[in-house]
Amino acid sequence: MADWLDELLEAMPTEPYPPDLAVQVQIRLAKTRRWSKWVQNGVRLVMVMTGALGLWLLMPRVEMLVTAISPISLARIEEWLSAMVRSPSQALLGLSGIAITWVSQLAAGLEAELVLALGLLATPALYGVISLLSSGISQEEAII
Amino acid sequence: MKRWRMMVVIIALAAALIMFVSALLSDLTWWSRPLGSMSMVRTPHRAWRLALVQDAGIQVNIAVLLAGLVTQFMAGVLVLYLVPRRVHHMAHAIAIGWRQLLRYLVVGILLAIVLAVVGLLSILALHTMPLLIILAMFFFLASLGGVVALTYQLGRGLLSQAGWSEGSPLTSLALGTSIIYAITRIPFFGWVVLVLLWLTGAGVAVATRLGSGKPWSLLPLMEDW
Repeated sequence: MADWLDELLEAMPTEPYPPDLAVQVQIRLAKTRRWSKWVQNGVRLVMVMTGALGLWLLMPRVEMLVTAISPISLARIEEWLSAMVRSPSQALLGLSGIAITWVSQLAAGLEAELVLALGLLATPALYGVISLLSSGISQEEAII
Repeated sequence: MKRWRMMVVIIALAAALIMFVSALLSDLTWWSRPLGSMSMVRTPHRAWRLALVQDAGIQVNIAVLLAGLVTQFMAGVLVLYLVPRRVHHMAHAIAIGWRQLLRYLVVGILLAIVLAVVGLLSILALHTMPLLIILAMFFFLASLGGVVALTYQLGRGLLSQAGWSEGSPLTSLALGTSIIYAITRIPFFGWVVLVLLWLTGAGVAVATRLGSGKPWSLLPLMEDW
């Protein structure tokens, strides 16, 4: 433990420190803080704009996405349950088929603009979650 | 303290009354309606004006109400016994104040957006397709844990104000469950409260790292090997 401390002490300059060192350090610190606040505000502004753009792109396409998904009715569930009682393996096979059809319908509804809108919406949301989760802990422990 | 004791008793009675009235006025047998009409306005029970006990519909409603209440309580008991330390951490995080609770709600909303988007986009690639179900299950379990902690903390907060905090944690859970369950039975408003509760629950669970109390951090990856 003492070895590296000795080395550091030996590396320290022998001449006395300049009288305005404390002031210079404070000025530098204030400048760094100001700059990081500017960057933080800039990132926040970009994130808000990205989220707004994502919402603007997403809104007209929500209905299209909802209509692309076929509704799951109680009759279908009942039908599947009775198939399960008759033959479990056939029913599971049928269920996987239904799931794949449902997912492919959903995937078909995802157009390029919609994917872009979702990405634009998710980015600020993720940034918000990370900011909120890391705001209560020290900088060293922060998530990013 | 005496005033708080009276308040706790009044709140418990009001919760019971709301539940009873909801059984009279609302149709709780959701399975008897098509799924497409779930979001539609609930019509008043066809026979609520008639003699209460003779009406089979109301009896079914009360049975459903009690079953729902008991199920919710039992689910809470299960979570309390399975992960008591984690529930304690989450309840402690909730007890800090309203501003913190609002923060958890925002975390929950943002998390729901992120998970929904990731889940939706995951279906575009074949190998990430199961993520949609996995993320939905994660969100559900996180919300469940958070809601149990919220319910427990609500009951515990009220009982400690009344000077009855020495009792079993299950008493706190029972009181909290009764209040929350009654509020969620109120038409329209109940659904809003339910959604807000689940989002806040998810936020609490995630913010406390599923109740572990440890911070979300990449520090272990930066440590020396």
